[in-house]
Amino acid sequence: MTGELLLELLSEEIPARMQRRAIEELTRHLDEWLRVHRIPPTEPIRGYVTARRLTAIVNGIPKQLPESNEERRGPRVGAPQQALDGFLRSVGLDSAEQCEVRDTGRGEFYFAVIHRSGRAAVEVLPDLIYSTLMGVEWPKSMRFPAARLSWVRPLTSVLCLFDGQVLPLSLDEVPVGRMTRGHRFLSQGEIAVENAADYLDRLEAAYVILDQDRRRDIIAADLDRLAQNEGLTVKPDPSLLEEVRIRNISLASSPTGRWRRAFCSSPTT
Amino acid sequence: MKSVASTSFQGLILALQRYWAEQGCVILQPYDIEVGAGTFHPATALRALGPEPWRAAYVQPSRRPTDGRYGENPNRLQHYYQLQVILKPAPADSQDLYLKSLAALGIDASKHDIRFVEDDWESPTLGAWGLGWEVWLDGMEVSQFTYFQQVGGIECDPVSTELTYGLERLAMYVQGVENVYDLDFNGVAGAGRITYGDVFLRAEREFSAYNFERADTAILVRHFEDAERECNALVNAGDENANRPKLALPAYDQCLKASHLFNLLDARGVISVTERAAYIGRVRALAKACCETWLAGAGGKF
Repeated sequence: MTGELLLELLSEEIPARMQRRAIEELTRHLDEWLRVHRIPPTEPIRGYVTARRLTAIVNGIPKQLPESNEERRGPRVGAPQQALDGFLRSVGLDSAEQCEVRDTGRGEFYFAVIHRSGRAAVEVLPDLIYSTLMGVEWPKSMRFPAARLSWVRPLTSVLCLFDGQVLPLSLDEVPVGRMTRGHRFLSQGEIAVENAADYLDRLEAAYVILDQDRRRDIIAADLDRLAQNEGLTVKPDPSLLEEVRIRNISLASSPTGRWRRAFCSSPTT
Repeated sequence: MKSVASTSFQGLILALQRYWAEQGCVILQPYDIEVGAGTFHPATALRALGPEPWRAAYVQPSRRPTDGRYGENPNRLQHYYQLQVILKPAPADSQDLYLKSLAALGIDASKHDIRFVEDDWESPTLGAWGLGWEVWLDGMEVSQFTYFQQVGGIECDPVSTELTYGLERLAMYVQGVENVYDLDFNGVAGAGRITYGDVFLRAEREFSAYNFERADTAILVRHFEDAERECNALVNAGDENANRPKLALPAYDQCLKASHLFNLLDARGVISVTERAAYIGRVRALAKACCETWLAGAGGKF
């Protein structure tokens, strides 16, 4: 049984030059922590970024951490005390009596059996997400009154759902729940979200196209269409398109405009 | 449609003051010492420190001697106005409050392109920095928005929101005027009409000449040293036992004077690159001492 995690960090405007790296950092740390807690997702994490939000959608997270017994072989019986102490520390045991002694055929060795009980993923996810946020590195970050956490700009709210249920993540006074907001000027008020699919739909209705690749494709298609209508040729500029893809936009629409020829040259000195 | 009076230069100031008064700000008057920016007013620089809540708004003339252009440049002035707002602690809806202030000026956010573009602020002479944005209105910078992190080298706790409106820029935009000197100052039609140029053009010409050509550099250097000495005397020589406490605010006045004198020396072109760094360091040391004295005296004898 697996579940879906939806995590959105809504903040005040993230500097354009930091947006791409931020979403890479967020998804990388989230993936690492899911693996550390032995609930790696079955599907790659999807990361999205707009001027005001970082969003990670993770499908296929096991709902239950498996119960497990792990065996670790330690030093040979009669090895120096220092080696034995180091081994005990590494497996979290207090004394050699807690280990089993087995003859492997090449002599007697200490063995530690580490038992891990099964736990529900929802029990570990809040701490895991907090650790993820702490791990995101910004070129410059700031303090703000609502939380002890440093972030690039003040966090407005955090949307945090596992299988549609709000995770009990605590970020001081930053609201955590199932609420988000749409476009700053074209949409008003808060929006309640059920799950990732619902989230994407509701954002789009609130004038935010979350998927940066889709924004780029819309712009590219618009350029072609407009050029055809006007009998023009598009001068390809992949780096500009990439900048527009990531940058300070959450909507994609393309008007045409003109410059007067007189403005198309630089003054000479 | 807004009446002409409300889009006049003074009309914009009145509208912003009214709006921020409604947000619980004390409306202060400009500080009576030359400063390079509204941030230097003690109502921001000193009050941003310490735990006490504080909300204030005021107009502050900004003196930037090197920016003078003898009244010939339509956008550059050695003396212009900022409207400064300080909100401590920074409210969670700081951005909304700012956007509503634009609405109070008749700027409809759904009809204009308003952007928060990364612009981190720092003042080397004040030992202060913060993160924030410049706010673009249809591609033109009209405000600075900063969350203060440090002042005088001291962490701000809590963090404050600082808003700075460039009043001439904003007025030029609202009035659709290309030259600052053509701004409608008082909103009166006909014979009583006063433009920005009527009020300030002569001052721009005369002060540009003073700042760049006439200011006596030997006097400036002497005055700088006097201000520095006086500032240090007020923050160092305090003797609580002899009932002669350190005086943060008078010391800070001397720090401001030193800062402006440095700016004048800079405009006169008599400071080398290495001297420049040294002067900035000296002013910063004064600012730091004033800030520390201010904090130490909070809730004290005064």
